[in-house]
Amino acid sequence: MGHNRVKQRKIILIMTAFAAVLLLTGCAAKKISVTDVAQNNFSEVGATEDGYYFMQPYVTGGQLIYYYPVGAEQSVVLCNKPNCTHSCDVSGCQHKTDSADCGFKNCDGYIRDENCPSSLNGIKCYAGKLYFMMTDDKGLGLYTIAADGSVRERVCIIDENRQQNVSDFVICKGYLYYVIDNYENSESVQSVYKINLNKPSEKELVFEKRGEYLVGRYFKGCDEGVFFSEVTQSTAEDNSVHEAYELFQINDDGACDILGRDDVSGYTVTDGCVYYHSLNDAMLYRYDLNTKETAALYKTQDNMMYYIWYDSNYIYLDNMQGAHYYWFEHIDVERIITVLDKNGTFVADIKLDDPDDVNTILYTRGCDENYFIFTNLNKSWYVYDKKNIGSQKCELIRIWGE
Amino acid sequence: MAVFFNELRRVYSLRRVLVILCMLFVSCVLYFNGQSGNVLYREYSDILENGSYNEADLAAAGNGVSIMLQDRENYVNQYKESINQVIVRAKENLKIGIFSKKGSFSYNNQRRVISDFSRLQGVRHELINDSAVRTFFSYNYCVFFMLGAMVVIVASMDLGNKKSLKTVIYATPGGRYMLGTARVAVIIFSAIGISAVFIAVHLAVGFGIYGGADIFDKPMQSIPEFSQFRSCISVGGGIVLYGIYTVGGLALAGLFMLFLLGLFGNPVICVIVGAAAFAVEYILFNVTSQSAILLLKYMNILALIMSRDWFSNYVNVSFFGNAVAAGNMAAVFAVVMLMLLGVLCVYMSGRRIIGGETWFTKFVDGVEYEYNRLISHIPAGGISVYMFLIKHRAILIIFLAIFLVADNSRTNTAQYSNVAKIKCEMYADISALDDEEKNIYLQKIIDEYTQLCNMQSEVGKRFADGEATMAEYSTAIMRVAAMSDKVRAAGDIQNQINSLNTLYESRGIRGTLVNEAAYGYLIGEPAALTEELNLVCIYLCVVILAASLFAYDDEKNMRAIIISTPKGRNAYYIKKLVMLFFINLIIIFMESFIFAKNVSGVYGFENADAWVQSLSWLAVYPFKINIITYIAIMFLYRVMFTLAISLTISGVAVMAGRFIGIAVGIAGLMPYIILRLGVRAVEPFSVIRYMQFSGFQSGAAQCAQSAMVLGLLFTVGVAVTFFGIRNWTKILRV
Repeated sequence: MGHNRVKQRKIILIMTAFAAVLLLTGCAAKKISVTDVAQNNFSEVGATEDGYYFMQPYVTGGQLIYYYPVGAEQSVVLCNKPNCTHSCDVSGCQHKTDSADCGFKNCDGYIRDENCPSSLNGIKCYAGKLYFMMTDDKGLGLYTIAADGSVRERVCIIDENRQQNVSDFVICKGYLYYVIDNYENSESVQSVYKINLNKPSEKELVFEKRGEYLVGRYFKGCDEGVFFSEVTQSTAEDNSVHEAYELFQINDDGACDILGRDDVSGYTVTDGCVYYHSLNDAMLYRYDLNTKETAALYKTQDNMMYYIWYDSNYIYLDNMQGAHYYWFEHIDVERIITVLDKNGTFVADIKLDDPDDVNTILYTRGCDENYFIFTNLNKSWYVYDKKNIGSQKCELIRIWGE
Repeated sequence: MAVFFNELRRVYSLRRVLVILCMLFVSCVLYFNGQSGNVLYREYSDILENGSYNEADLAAAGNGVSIMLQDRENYVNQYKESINQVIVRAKENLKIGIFSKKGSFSYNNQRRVISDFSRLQGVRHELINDSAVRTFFSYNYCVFFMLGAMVVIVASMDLGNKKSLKTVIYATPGGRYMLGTARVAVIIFSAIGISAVFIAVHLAVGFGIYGGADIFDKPMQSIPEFSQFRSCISVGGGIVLYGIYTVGGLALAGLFMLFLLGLFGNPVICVIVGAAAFAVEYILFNVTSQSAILLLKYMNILALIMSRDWFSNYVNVSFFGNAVAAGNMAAVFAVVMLMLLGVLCVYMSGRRIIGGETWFTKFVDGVEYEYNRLISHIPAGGISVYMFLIKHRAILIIFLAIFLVADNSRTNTAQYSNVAKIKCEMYADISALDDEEKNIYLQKIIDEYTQLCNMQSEVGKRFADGEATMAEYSTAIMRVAAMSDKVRAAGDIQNQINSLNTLYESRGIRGTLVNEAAYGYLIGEPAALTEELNLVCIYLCVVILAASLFAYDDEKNMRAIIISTPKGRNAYYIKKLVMLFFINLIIIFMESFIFAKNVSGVYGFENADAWVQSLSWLAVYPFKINIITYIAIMFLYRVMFTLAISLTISGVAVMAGRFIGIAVGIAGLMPYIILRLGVRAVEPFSVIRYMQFSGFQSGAAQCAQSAMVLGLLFTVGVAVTFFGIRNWTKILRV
């Protein structure tokens, strides 16, 4: 009897300790939603109902995540610790998390990114969570962060060797899609990979292209699949530079050029349709992904590039200066966002003020029902309140920067 | 109480007290050594100790200490403002949706910060000489030595090899629970004693170096690292509080070890389970501040032992949405766990049935039987290894040394750079090319870069005139930027090729173009810097093991029996030395392996068969051997050097006792410590310098000197061993 009691006691003690260790290490697997699609009307900005998340490089390396609450005057660093200065003035500090003196040691809003420029990829909102990419000691990985920044978890590592630079990514129906741009002996190699987030070890190459200069960007995930635009630059014998803009869709069979055109200056996907702007035709088209029918909606200005955004009511034609720079030799165009209804009927023009009166390039980062969000890269971030559409008020609100 | 005092007297034998004092001494030496180069803090302390200083003169000087003084003055003057800013930020955060959801951690954290920092507004502090306290809190190894002392105490409570004593204890009325209670009390008493003595002595050393022993009544927040320390207490109070956390950590660690001993009985299994538990604790302690399980970082024995790491930080953690101070969380955890483990230890001590057989004890006995059966095949030395490593717990010393080595190698390792990475690719590209083709390859890169620079200038002018598009201009800039690191790498390789040509012309050695990055961190000057602490650990480990070689036999009064057996005189001594040699070999191999693995994680080792003169810092090396042979010689030299040290120390220990052996070993380290204090004249006497080998063996004179030192030390070792053997067999004659 005595022996049995001893045996039972030991078994109970050992099992309890084992269970406690399992509980403490939180080993339960976390499943990623396989039905959601990423918020696709923003680039580099994570948009939620309450506010917007974006990244800015810190002066001595790494990135800071900022949060702009809807209706506020300014954005704040995504850190709930008021005693944190969100800065580090230790000379030569590498901002490593195990550095005792680093000012960012306990800062929730700081991302120490060794190789990959996170701000190029920004933050994406998927299935109610925020995602971003970061390179650390473990490698280049996908991370998720709580809305108040207090909890951060690694979803998967996509490159343990930390050699790759991801230029854009999107999450759609449980899969991560990302593009790698590499330069090999004056030749560009662009590769798009797909990873099942519930089985991160399975990585699939879905698209690869080589050329003189390639850029893959503006990934958009929706119910119909994942889309991205491809910029190909080539130099002719007379040294003139030619650029081609194509639109690809990734589905189960790989990536395919769905429009068969090389002049798609901008596109967006909503309500089962692709809205795109043809540079050669100077026309906004709507391509129905189900019926495969194309309809011309709106004649645009000749020799102008447009990026396209949408909300529940309108389609927006944005003559973004940054894009315009690349295509044409003249840059002195007035910045206008044209508001159309979904059938291409003109509603209004938004003529944006130059916020700093210094003729800086203002890049649009997306829109929702409330705001357009802009940045002039590392200087400032602005919002435009959509309530002002139709009025003469074109004021931009500076939410971050000088 | 009688049981407690008897157990206390037994545990605190002279031998154990001396071991703990040795640990204290070594820790203080390392701390003292670490302060040798801290000129800035010394000057700062001197100025404050001397009383007044002329601010205008200091500002004009613009040196480090004047900047430090100005920073500290600014800190004092701006303290209240900085505290107010935190309160204002917290109030502003309460207006932001994501931080102000009632019941959430963020909301509670803002309120807690407002409450805590409002108290700090009243703190009035001044400029003080706090260098001793600051350096003490930044010193890493004190806690490891305190933990080592605790292991010594708990290990003495293992009665596994005194089974008859167990039966006696169990037979006494009340002897079981009473003894368990007494042991719990001894452990808590030891934790208090070790913590108090170690902290007090280290602080005394610190005050001895820097002065400032009169700051105990100043506010803790006077020290910049403690600016957000949540309690309004004095420096003295803060140190006592730190001591209490350390006591909690040490007592918990001790009780946990005692609990494992009570649960498993077998010390081998205790070590394995303890190591596994330590690994889990270590992982939890290193979670980031954004981890979902951050709470467990502070509800952790290691967090209490390593409270130095977080003690000064203002950190609140989420406990079901409430913002709880990390220190409070750790304190509650410590109290609860101390009571729980205390009760469990007493329970395990009292209820265990002697001689009872269960599946578990059968399994353990079976493993032990198989183990003994295996080592019995090894002639003579096998049992000695077992006794030495396990029964005499030498394995703990080895584990501690390997832990320190791994920790140092992890923090001081090869650094990655973009240029080095490009160089690696270039080496791969040109490895198959002949000399002329290599030059063409490199020249092509330089030409291409020049061409791109010219093109960028041209496109820039055209862009300024409105003739070129932004696309063309940005492409030109991007291509130049991409090439700049490449051209630097090409330049470095070209210089290396030139050096190899010079080598061939001057010495006739046809060197190979080797990627030096990895070898630099393995056998070059960077290795000498990063590996230094590893070698100090190895040296101390070798000394302690050598001095303890016969301690177990002497402790058990086995010497008379052993030397009375046939072949039991000289042969036993020699076999023990052979065993020690292999243990040293394993330790040195482990160190080299850990170190090389960290380097190879960043750079690759290629062309190991090339002449060692191919490496630029070894161009004047006198012997024409290849790199791998050089590394092997370096390894062999280190092994032979430690063998010579082992022979010397073990011989001294046999003749004069273990502690004299350790004392001689520590005395041997003194030239190195004095060297670190800046006295270059003692460099030829530093054992660590010879163990480093690489970086000092570049010329013929240095090689001859190293060989002579090794020969001399070996001769001393053999001589001492000879006298040691004579001393070992002396008892028989007596």
